[in-house]
Parts: sequence; C-alpha cells; structure tokens
Amino acid sequence: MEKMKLKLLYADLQSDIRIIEKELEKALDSSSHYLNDASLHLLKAGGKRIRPVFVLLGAKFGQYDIHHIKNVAVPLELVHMASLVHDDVIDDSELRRGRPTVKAQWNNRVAMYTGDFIFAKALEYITKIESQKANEILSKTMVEICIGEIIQIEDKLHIEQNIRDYFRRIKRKTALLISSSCHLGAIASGCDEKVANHLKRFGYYVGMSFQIIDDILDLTASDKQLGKPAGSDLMQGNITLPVLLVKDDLEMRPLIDKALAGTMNENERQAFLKKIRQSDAIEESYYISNLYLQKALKEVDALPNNSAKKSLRDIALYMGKRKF
Amino acid sequence: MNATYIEEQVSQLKNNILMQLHHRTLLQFTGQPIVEDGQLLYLLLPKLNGERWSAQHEKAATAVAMINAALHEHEQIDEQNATSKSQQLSVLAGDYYSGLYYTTLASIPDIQLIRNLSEAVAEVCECKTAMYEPKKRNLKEWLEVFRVIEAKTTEQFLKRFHFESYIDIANQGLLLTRFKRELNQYQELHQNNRFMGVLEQQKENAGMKYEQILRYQISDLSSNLIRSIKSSPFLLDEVKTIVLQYIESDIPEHQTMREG
Repeated sequence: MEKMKLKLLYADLQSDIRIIEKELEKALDSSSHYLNDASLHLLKAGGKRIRPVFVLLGAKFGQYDIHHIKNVAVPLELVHMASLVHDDVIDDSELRRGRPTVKAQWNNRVAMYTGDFIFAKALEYITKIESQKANEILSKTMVEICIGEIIQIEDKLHIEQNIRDYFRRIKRKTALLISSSCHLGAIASGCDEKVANHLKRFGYYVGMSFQIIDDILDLTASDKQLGKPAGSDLMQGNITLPVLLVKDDLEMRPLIDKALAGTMNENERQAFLKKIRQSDAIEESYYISNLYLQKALKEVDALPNNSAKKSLRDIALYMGKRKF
Repeated sequence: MNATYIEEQVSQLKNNILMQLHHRTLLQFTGQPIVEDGQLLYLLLPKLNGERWSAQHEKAATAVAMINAALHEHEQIDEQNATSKSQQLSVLAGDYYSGLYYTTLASIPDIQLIRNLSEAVAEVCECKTAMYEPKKRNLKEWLEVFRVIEAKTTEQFLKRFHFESYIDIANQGLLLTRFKRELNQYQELHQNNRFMGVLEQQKENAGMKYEQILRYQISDLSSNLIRSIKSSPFLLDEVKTIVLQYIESDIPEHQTMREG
C-alpha cells in the first residue's frame, strides 16, 4: 500500500522505471545457474527503486534521455542490491521482503559471490557513460558507505556514544547513496554545477530525514507492520536517535541495558516500547527529521522550475511523513 | 638487475597496497589484507623485464592486487553462521577493498580498464559459484575454472597494456601457486574443502589420495611452466632465474586461504 502511494508520486516516470527494470534483469544475466537464480530472486523481491527514481528526477534538470540516464540509474540500484545481499550475511537474516535471503536459500559464500558479482556488474554498466567524474563519485560513495557500516559495527552496544556519532553513521549508511543518486543523475544529464550541487544536497538531507524516520518507526510501528519485532535495532545493538535521547532516563536505562545485553524478555520489550513511545524522544526525533526535511525542501526551491521539482518535493514530504 | 632488486620491487608495491588498504578496525579484527607476492610478481613481470612502465601501469597493477585482496577477504566467510564480529567485519573488509580498487581505477582514468576488470571479476564470481553447482565438469574444465579464479584479473591487466606475451606464464604461474597453497593448507589443517571435493571426483584421479592429486598437478604445472620460461624468447635471463626460483619455492604460510 505504502509502495503504491510512493509510486503515484512519480507516476510519469513509470515507463522509464520499466526500462530500468528490464535493464536490471539484462545486467544480471549470468552463465552461472545459481547467480542467475539469486539475481532473479532479488529482482522479483522488488523494492521501491528509490535510487533510480532520484537519478531520473535529477536528470530532468538537464538533457534528459532515458537511454543515456539508465546507464547511471541501473548501477546505483545494483550497488544497493549488492549491499543488501552482503548485509543479510552480516545480520544473519533469513528473510528480506518476505522472501528467503540469498544466504538462507544457498549459503553465506554464495551470497558473497552474488554480492561481488552484482557489484562488478554495476561497475561494468556505469562505464557505458564514459565519465570519469561519475566513476569518481560512485567509487567514493562506495568507500564511505563501507566506512559507515564498519563504524556501525564498532559503535554497536556502545551506549555512551553521542548524537554526532549517530549522524555521522546514518550519513554514510543512507544519505550518501541517495545524495549520489541525485548528483549522478544531474551530472549524467549535463546539468550545470550549481543545479547539480543543489540536487546533491537535497539527496543528502532527504536521506538523513528518511533514516531518522526509519529509526523512529522501528520503535513505533507494530511487529506486523515492520515484519520483525519492534525494537529490533536496539536488540541487535544498534543505538538509534530516539534511544540516544532517552538513554539517561533512570527508568529507561535498565531496559536499554538489558536489550543490549541480550537478556530482555518479551514483557520487558513491551514495557520498553510503551515507555519510549510515551517519551519526548519520539517527538524530538521527528522534529530533527523535519529539520532535515525542511533543508531538503529549501534545496528544491532553489532548483529551476519543471515537473521533476514537484515530484522531488512530494517524495521528500512522503518520505518524511511515512507511517511504516 | 638481481634477485634483491626484484624482491624490493615486489615488496615496495605490496607495502604501498597495504598502506592504501589500511583500516585500523579491519586490521584489528580481520588481520592484514591478503596480497600475494606471486600475483605481484606476475603483474610486475613486464616492468622487471624492461618494458615501458608508467605511473598508470603501477596504479592499474595496484588496483588488480586490491581486487584480489577484496575477493580473498570474502573467501574467509564461513558457509554457515558467519555471525562473529570478525566474520561481519570480513564481509565489510571485502566491500571496503572493493570500493578502494574502484577508487583507484577511477583515478587512472581508463574507462576501458574498469570495464575489462569488472567483466573479469564477474567471471571470477561465476567460476567460484560453479563449485557449489551440481553441474558436472571434467578435469580440463575444472582447471580452466581455477585458472579464471586465479588469473583472470591479471590476464585482463596484461591484455589492456599490450603485454600479451606474458599472459601464458602468468596463467600457469598463478594456477600453480593455487595448487601449492592448497597443498600447504591441506598439510597444515587436513580439512576438506570444495576444491578437494571437485578434484577427488574426477575420474582421472580415481584411487589417488588428495595429497597425491595435488602433487601430481603441481609437478605437471611446474614442469610446463619451467619449460615455458626457459624457452621464452623475450624474458631476460636474470628475470628467468628469479621466476624459476620463485616457482621452486614454497608459498609462505600467511598466504593460505580457505577455498574458493
């Protein structure tokens, strides 16, 4: 349902998104039976394709030609897909979007090869645009994302981290790839530098806002809506913004410590969720997310007028207000 | 040129690569990235043999070694239950090294090289996955699979810079290194792995113990390679001597990897 609503916001891109879907399938074609199955399995699981959407919308501010822009949109989605396959190994996840993960269906090693294969295909694909700058941007983004994930593992269970650590983490974890999607769309379509930089910053702010909302929803949405137990982030040792905002509360702290120690029972989980939902932390987190959202909207205001401008604004607002 | 000069060249490139791949946390939990002397030797062979060698060649060779460090890191992941912190960080280490090889390639800039190496990495992954697939292959086909895994990226590098005459030696040498590594590992750990499973199933190897199979392949590959080097019309005598010395030496302990 939510995915449907989002799709309506970029309805006029649907035919181009279908081209991207077909290209993703072509790009992942392999002589290996297992890699073909694994890739098809991932493609069928769908996804919002939000990164290609941002590439396409970014490109609308330059010389838009889907047959050229797809050469950036496809690799960005491939990079994202590759990271999901490897993340499932790191998180030991059995299911993603209701389907068995590659590691669950085959094993960790096949998942590693699948991720590496998809990443290689992304690089092969982006070379079609023959742009050194595009390669530089994507490669630096890749490195930063990995650094972010390494920091996330370093920061796990460390309750004495500060909010700056959290922002630094989510910037790399989420915001940079969305920022690069908008930026690369602009570059591939030959936008002027000023416009490209507005789009880059827009993507960054939207990404920050999006991740904060994601972290709030992990605590406020139901288990059913999330498809996993609410509060999973904390129980896996990941300290998110709402938790950082309540960590010094005398009633909450023992529950947080139990969650981090892996000794929290179901009653305690429910008690923790009830308390944090009633605390100011959720509202404050929404407030911070909204600050990023407003910054994103300011960047949109600075862009030249066209139909993509409205879509960017609508998507940003949707992402900032989504319920799960 | 002498043995010391060649060793210095390999060691200099290796240190440079390790410095670029350095990450404090990864070093602590996953150890030093795997950068093999053998691969560096075959990448540097044209330079050591007096071919024109620029900063671009050096960067590209660095990127190829980084690619292999990335792929080797992912070989450290257990097939099941890779939940420890060091295993999680090995996944990320491989991805981080991949990002760095891409950054290095993007800075050269040679789009065609990025394309060729990406194709090679994809093919290597296909070949690694082949070891998990039920499809039957004969020994010759498996040897080709192993050759691609070990040598495809180096081959692409040599092709791209028109050092085609070195490809055959690099292919044979890198495959030989793999068999030697498997032998060392087997002698140390006596563990089964996919490589072993594949070789033992071949009808040519029926009735042979795994160690015998490996020794037979090593002997076969070594004699072919030694012949190729000795009869090479383009390799300088001192380079021939060094490569022959390397072939006859054992692979250092730290250069073992589990399988793949």
